[in-house]
Amino acid sequence: MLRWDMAFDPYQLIDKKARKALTRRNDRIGLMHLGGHFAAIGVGGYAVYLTYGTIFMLPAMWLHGIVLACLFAPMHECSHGTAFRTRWLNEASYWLVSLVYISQPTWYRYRHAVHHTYTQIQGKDPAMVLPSPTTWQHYFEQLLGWRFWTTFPVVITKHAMGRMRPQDSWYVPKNDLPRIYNEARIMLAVYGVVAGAAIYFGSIAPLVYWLIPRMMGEPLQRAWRIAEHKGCEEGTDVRTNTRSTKVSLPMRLLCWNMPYHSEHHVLPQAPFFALPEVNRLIGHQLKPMGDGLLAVDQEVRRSCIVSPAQAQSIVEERKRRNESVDTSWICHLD
Amino acid sequence: MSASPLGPDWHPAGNAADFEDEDVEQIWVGRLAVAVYKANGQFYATQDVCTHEHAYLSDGVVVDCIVECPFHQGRFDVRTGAAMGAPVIVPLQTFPVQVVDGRLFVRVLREQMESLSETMPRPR
Repeated sequence: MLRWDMAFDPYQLIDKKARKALTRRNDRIGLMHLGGHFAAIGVGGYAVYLTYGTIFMLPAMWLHGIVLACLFAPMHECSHGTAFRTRWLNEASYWLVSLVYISQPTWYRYRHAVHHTYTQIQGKDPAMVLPSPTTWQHYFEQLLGWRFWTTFPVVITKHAMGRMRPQDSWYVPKNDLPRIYNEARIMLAVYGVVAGAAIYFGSIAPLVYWLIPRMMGEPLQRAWRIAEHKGCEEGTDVRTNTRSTKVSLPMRLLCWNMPYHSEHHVLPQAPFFALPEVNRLIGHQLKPMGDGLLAVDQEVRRSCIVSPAQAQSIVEERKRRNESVDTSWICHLD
Repeated sequence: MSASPLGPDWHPAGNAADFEDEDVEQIWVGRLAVAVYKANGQFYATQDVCTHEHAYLSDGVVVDCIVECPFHQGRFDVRTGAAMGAPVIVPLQTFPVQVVDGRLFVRVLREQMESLSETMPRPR
């Protein structure tokens, strides 16, 4: 798709001079946020250590896990190259955050580029969260990150073996496949060393301080991802296919301002710290902000969930009309 | 538009004084969109349409000598046209730029104009 073939050109909303001011990156702000995020992970890990073996250990692991799962936000920011002005800083941070969050940097960058091109287009948007029709099973699978935890290990192993899934190969240039395969090999080697060291020393630390909390924190992070697009129009108009959501300051910091998601889709080259200003300038021309995560989640559950029988008939009806239906679940791997 | 003092292949591209540093502007040479940059005090020109998914680089961001596409943040070196990595891998066509009495001129050969403009979108 050409950018100017989208249903609406978002640049009509902000003139070039304002865009230039809003897209300036800043190493200091990026370092403060990333440092703050990893400091929060350190505090969370220490809380798990202090509560080890007590009844308070589970809540500590859950809070620690939320901070870990929200590493998706800096990972996403670095994939756009907007976390820092200095490129090597951005790319080094991208690798570090991707390793801890568990995502393949270059592969995600391609997937996410396609998400911005084909936002909310079924069968084309690889990051489309809960394409309609959505059943309770889909909803809970998404919330728990079920598809991610069951599919990503298979996908990264395939990449390490030099194979790309057919449903992903259309958006990755052949010339760049070796880079993705090598990334997968490096990542699996790192994870292998961590696992090997844990087994050698008889330690369960990687499970207690990283993997289990990461899984426990998944639902909140996934709920944010649902709020960004689910229930919005399935089309290419950024004014209607994406939702921003009101959020408390601590959560906004943890999510690197990503709840300003409509603003991000209007101006993806703007760094996270500029999004509130984008909202101030053009927020009134976008889809009204969701009134908090719980309210949006409630709205999604009330208005978007259908029974399996209804879902089946909707899919069949769409197929009869030759409309695109995403039944392959190409999404949910980020 | 006044004729170029440099020859028929040199096309006017605005006034040097109108550019800030780390700036990019779009000009049209026939049906070819050209991005003219000021980066680190020097002027450069490349094809304006990104080689990845067709957006105007002149809508993008210039940091040092790198232009970043507004659509997917693909990055190119404006001095050489080199693609700097995912999601862009195909380099940009570059064009020489000269400043004459404060006016900018870009050299685009007729054959470049014809071969590149085949993939160009309609002017806005």
